[in-house]
Amino acid sequence: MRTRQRCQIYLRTMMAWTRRAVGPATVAIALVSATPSTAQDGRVFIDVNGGLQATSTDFVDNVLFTEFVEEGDFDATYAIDTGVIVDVSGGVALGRGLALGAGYSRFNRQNDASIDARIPHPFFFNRDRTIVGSSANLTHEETAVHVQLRWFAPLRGRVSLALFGGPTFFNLRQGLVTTVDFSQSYPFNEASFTSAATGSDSASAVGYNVGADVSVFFSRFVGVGVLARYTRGTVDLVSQDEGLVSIDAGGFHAGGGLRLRF
Amino acid sequence: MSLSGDRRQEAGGRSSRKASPASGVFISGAAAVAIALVTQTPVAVQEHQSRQTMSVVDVSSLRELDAAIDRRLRTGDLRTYRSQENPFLPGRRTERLAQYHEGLPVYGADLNRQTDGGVTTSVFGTQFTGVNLDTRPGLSMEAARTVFAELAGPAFELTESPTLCVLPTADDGYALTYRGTLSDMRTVFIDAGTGEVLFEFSNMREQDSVGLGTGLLGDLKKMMTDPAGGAFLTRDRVRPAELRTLDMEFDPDRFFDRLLGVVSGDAPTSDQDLSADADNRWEDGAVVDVHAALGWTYDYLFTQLGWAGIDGNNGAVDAFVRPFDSTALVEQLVLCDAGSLSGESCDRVQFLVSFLDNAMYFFPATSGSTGTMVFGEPFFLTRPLTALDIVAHELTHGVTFFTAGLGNTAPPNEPGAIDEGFSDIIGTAVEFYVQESGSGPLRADYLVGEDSASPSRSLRDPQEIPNAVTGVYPDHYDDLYRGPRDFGGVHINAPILGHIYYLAVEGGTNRTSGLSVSGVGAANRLQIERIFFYAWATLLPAFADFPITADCLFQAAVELFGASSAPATAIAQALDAVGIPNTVTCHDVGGCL
Repeated sequence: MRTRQRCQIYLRTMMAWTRRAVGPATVAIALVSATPSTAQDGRVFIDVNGGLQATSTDFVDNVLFTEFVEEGDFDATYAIDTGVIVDVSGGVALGRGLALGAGYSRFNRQNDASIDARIPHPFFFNRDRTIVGSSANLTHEETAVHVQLRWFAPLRGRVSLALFGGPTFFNLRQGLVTTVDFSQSYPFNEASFTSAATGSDSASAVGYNVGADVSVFFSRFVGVGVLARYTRGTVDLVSQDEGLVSIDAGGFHAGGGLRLRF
Repeated sequence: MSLSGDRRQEAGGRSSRKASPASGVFISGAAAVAIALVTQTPVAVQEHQSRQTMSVVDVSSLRELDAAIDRRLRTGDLRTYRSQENPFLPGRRTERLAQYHEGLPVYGADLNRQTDGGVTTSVFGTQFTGVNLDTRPGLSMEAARTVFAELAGPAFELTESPTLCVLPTADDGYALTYRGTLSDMRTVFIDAGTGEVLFEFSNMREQDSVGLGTGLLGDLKKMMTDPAGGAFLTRDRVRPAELRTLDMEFDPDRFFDRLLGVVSGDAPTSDQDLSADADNRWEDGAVVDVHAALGWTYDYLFTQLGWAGIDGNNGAVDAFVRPFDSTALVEQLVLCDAGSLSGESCDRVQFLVSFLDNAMYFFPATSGSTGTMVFGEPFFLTRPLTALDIVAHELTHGVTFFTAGLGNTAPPNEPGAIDEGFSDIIGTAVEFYVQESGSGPLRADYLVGEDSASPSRSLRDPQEIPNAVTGVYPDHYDDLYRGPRDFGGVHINAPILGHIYYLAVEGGTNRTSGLSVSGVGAANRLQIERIFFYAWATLLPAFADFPITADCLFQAAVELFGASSAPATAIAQALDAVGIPNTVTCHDVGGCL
């Protein structure tokens, strides 16, 4: 199969997938398509955005451990709040208002984890002591590469509207509570949380992204724009006890920044 | 807790049960002394903040360091706290040095200097530099004691006088602190100026001291053991009192000698007497049962009755298990009876036979001892008498020795029966403290010894158990056995007391008198147990008979809960039911005597 054919098949696939993904957005596309085309349509586009990942998420990691020849466990609940993202996208026009691009976004947060642990009793089976605590400043780093098929709506004037969608390749690094330290004294019927040790793990996953970009150009090459994107993926990290902990990556991105067309 | 295999540790994971230093103060727990192989690491001196670790073995560096150490020894900056011959290499000596600042020890500093014929061959250790600290405490010693007392809480105390010392801090500084050790196994450093807790750690042994044992009934139990010499020993140092299970491995001669040595105090327990296991997974059921039960009995006494161990003072507890092979012993007994064996051997056999199908407590023969227990081997029975209530029963004899101190009289030996009865009660109470209530193996009930053999006594209904002397056990004072058997009926008459406990807790009707009792209910059993123990610890005279005991029990109930309280009513009704109505003598005269 020749390269051109292969690209066409890929694009058709992506377009079909994007249509399924964006759903209601296709209505907007249809409306906008009725407008005559005067969009800024250079061969190459570069978008640089700053913005917000406006979706918070949380997840629970249940870790089993052996203490005093008995199994104990702790639940670490991680709350990932909203935060700033940095986003850079670029691509090339394919014709007919379509473009193929890729974007890179990065989201960093320091998050806390609340810990609820059940510590076995040193003398008796089935007499767990419950302790609670927290661990602060855990790293949450999401990097994402968004492959996008873009469709530039044929708007008149200085305004450009682009709709896009495609797969997203996430890499997520998360600080995880690995051990819980506690203090206790005879008769050990109670224990107190003292601290938690943390480690981190990272993993990758494939998700998706859909969104829209509205830009206003001051000249043929330079403009500013706003971005609205929803991207999602589920990353499975390896927990301390070798189990998997699933974390939702991505969310709703809103931002704006520089637009370049060449 | 310290989880194994932390392959992506970010922050230093500290080991279990080690409290974090407060207020950002932290002594590095990781390798306070850097040990390097002498032949592989000639010189390694590392500065880490103000902490300097060293491993020095090459001649030129050693000469300089050795001279510096000697200088500091002369000034008192270093002090030798231990010096001993190297047990492996003749002529070599190990000298351990502590660092001091203006006469105060610096916590976490330690140098270990090895010499060969007086010539230093290596130095390993840690010292702290730049110590510049005013050593005048803002807090007086008395004020420090008060702080430690508050930290200890009502149940614990400071074990010895606090000492001033220098504590290195995480911010490359030093703090003047009082160091104190509390009886709850914590060592605490408080700021000598403010009293704030800066650092503490538990003296409890780490996780490896918890072993896993399988009892005679196949049940899993946690064993508090002591790592030593590459193995684990049946020595519980986790609890405030040291509890030791002495395994004679079926060697009657060894048992005989060690028993006499321990009881007399001439040859106290040593590591060789303890049961040992390489992986801390214990399969010797008798060892497991006894060792675990000693601990649980201690826990019951301490947490429920406020009594610290066998003597109230956390004295060590010894218990012998597996003293001999019963079949071989009986064969020897047959030879003695036939005249084929005689003399000292037969005397010894006759003595040892008393441990067949039996468990015993020996009073201490000397002050400072707490006596010892022996859990014999079965011959007619299928299992050794090592069930939880039996172990608690025997240990409680020691408690009685150190409280009421009940003696023995000519038949009817009522003090002896009361002693046995109280042991039955506490044995039952410990069962309920540890096990779920119910019937069958490993369930708490009012039967005595049911997990070792068929039950020997019943507190619920004494008459339900037969005995060879009187047919059934008495449940009423009118039926007191007054004959000479059983040391004047100490076991035969014991259920009378135990039945008082049962009726006061559960309520019910005495089979002989037909009198009913409104018990306090199983949920309140501790009220009755405290009444008994209070009477034992504070009221009961050494030669108490049942009537005096009845008075003391009622007096205890009145003092603890009030005359019209449910526990006092339950006790009074139970005493009536078994035919020993209290006369409130104790109440009238202010004491049993």
